[in-house]
Amino acid sequence: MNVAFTSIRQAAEVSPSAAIAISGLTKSFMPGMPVFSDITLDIEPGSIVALIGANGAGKSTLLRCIPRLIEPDEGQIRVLGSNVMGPSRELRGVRTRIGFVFQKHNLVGRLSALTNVVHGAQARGFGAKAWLQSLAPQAIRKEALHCLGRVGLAAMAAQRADQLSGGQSQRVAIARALMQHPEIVLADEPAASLDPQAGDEVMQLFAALMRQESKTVLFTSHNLSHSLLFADRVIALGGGKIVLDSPTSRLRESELRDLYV
Amino acid sequence: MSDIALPSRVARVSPLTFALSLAVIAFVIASFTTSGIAPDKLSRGIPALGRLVGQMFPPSVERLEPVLWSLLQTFQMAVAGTMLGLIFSLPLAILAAPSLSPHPAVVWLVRAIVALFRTVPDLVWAIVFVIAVGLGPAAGVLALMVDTIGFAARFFAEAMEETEKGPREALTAMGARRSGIIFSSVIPQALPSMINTSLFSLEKATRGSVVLGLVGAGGIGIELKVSLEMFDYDQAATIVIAIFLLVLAVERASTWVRNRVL
Repeated sequence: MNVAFTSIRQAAEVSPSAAIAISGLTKSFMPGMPVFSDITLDIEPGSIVALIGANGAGKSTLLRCIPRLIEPDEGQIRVLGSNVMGPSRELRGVRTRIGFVFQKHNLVGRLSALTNVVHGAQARGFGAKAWLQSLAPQAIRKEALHCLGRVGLAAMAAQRADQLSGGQSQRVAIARALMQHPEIVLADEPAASLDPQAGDEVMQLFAALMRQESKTVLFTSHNLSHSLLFADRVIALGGGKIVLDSPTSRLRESELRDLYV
Repeated sequence: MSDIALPSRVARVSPLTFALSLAVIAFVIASFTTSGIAPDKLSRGIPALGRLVGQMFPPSVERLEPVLWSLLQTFQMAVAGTMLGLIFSLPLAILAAPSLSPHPAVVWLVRAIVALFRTVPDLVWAIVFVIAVGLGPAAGVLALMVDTIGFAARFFAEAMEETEKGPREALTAMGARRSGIIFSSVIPQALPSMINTSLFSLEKATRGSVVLGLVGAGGIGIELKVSLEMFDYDQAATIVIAIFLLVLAVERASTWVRNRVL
């Protein structure tokens, strides 16, 4: 692969201050055919990192392994100093600190945009009070409306989620993540299911909000311009390994394009 | 013209399939013989049926008021039995849904209980509860409750299993509790199907409730039984018409609600 391999870190180099520290991570869905193996990387607090790679490179699998939505075969994952591979109680605690924005938004279509955002408060221990906006305390309802306002959708708070456009749905999903007050946000191709213009708008909004709140972000993307424009650092997966890990400032789009050849 | 031979008009049948087909045909013929359905019997039965219908009409309105009260009691039994059944169906359905249940053994056990409730006819449950709690509507309500659980818990569980996994995954990813995932994502998505099942349960319970009185479990069935035993066929006709109108009204109302809600 004709790519400048700016920096590929080894297991021993995982920083103790990292927001996300992964070492020796391996995952396979079929025996003998790992999606990736022995992945080691760390993400510094407050940085925005793009994870790129061709279809099937394992970007989404790696992202989903971090909060253990997919169970890794081997390796260690620490998020904000907590061991993700620990027992389920500890895992749930770690998950409450991670926001996740999905490619397909994953909203409850029959519920209003406001209720979907209120759901984010479940990560903050509001339990049954955050099942529906009608059950939520006034402060939570107001905060959810404020979050919708930040993504430009306050006027659509009462609208059912399945009546929103793709771009609007993704904005609601971002508002839900904000409502969670996470320290880390993982986003799995947040713009992939949107048309180019809506995709650009959503990515712009997403990156701006994340920077405002100094969140640590790891997002996957096929859009190289998005990766270069919105991330501080780009990590590329290929052949089950990290094939590139570099600050965005040192990269050119043509260089990244070679990864897909 | 192609050299390839045309396929046979009739697919080739294996000896085993042929033997099984013959066995099925023989069993169907034997079933008719055992049940005693014969043309001469039918020809004798039709005039008798005509005489019965003649005796039923015009229906008697002599005891209309007590009949209507019994009908109301029957419907109330159906409503109470359905409501209790639906209330118990919800937790059972959650335990019977593989993706929500805490353990596969729990799924198996709950599904077995629900299957037992469903396969035993409501009339048999009515007899069981008459023995347990005595004659009267309480036995009928309990029988309808069990029958509703057998029906609704299964369909609730299936509706929950069929919900989109994405919203569930979103809540799991943020560390929501299992109860939060069920009540924020699964039930809201399954709700239209659950409402549909609930309305069918009410229709089913209304139809079922009218015969429970035959075994002493309350409702209009006892009125029908007494009328038939006393050869008051005109009285029985009034009861049958009243039952028909009640069942029809419930079906129409539930169709209306279904169309409004879904």
